[in-house]
Amino acid sequence: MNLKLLRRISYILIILLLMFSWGHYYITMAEPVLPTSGFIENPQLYDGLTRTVLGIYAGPSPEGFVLQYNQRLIPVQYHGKVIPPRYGQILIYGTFHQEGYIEAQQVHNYNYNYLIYFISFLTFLFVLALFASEWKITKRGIESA
Amino acid sequence: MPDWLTHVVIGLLLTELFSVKKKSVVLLGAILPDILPKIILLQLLVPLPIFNNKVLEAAHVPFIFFLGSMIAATLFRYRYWKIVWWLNLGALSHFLSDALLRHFGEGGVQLLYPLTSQKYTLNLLWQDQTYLLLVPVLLLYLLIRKYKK
Repeated sequence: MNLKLLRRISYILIILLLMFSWGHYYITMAEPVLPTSGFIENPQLYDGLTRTVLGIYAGPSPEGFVLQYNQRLIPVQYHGKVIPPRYGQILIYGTFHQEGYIEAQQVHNYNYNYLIYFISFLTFLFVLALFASEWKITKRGIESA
Repeated sequence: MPDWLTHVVIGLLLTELFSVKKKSVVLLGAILPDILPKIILLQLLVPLPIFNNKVLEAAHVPFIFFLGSMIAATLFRYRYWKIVWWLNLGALSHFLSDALLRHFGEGGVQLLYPLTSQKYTLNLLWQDQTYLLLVPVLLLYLLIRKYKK
């Protein structure tokens, strides 16, 4: 068997293995297959589910506070003290209830998270600029500049 | 995730330690695992359709990243295994630094997937405290740069 054919077969096998692994990961890890953003439409499906949610603090409420997640508002019941995060988001760990609210057990403020996202974006641009200085894209592929 | 600046500075440190010729490949490897999973951050600006983001989080699994890097490396007209090694050197630093983070519940990095689905974390730092990692790594990087000159 020549080397070129062997390389092609290996390449196809790697692609197949990647597709299989990706699918396997999705099927085994996506339990329960209930994205948090679907909670508002169908809270009864989420009843009793406990998970972590990262969202925006949207203001206080008599039972705790309101969380903005994917541009939607979710009431959060929390009996501890909550200080609104500074330029950031709030992480909650809580149980979903079919009545349409989350009962938070723990909360943590990610202060200045928006600044972190902005710095990360600038860092991404820096990496792209460095990549462009070291490599050039040609019809044959990515070649050393 | 620690912020990408921390990931990139750790990547830069590794390029010095391993005398990597093409630093950008290591740095790309250091941030690539986060690119797909962080698409969900767009929901801060616009409402996203309801979908299960686990399909995107697969890129944040070392084994799956390794397979992806073996395909991506074929795009380069360079020594194949060098590119695979550099991409994975950056990615490994990413996964190990993510494994320092604190989580509620079952957070962490699935370092040994597909052998086990266990998520590993040292639960040391919150995501907003990664400057505690950034500062010493940056100092070490600058020290090594100075020593090498």
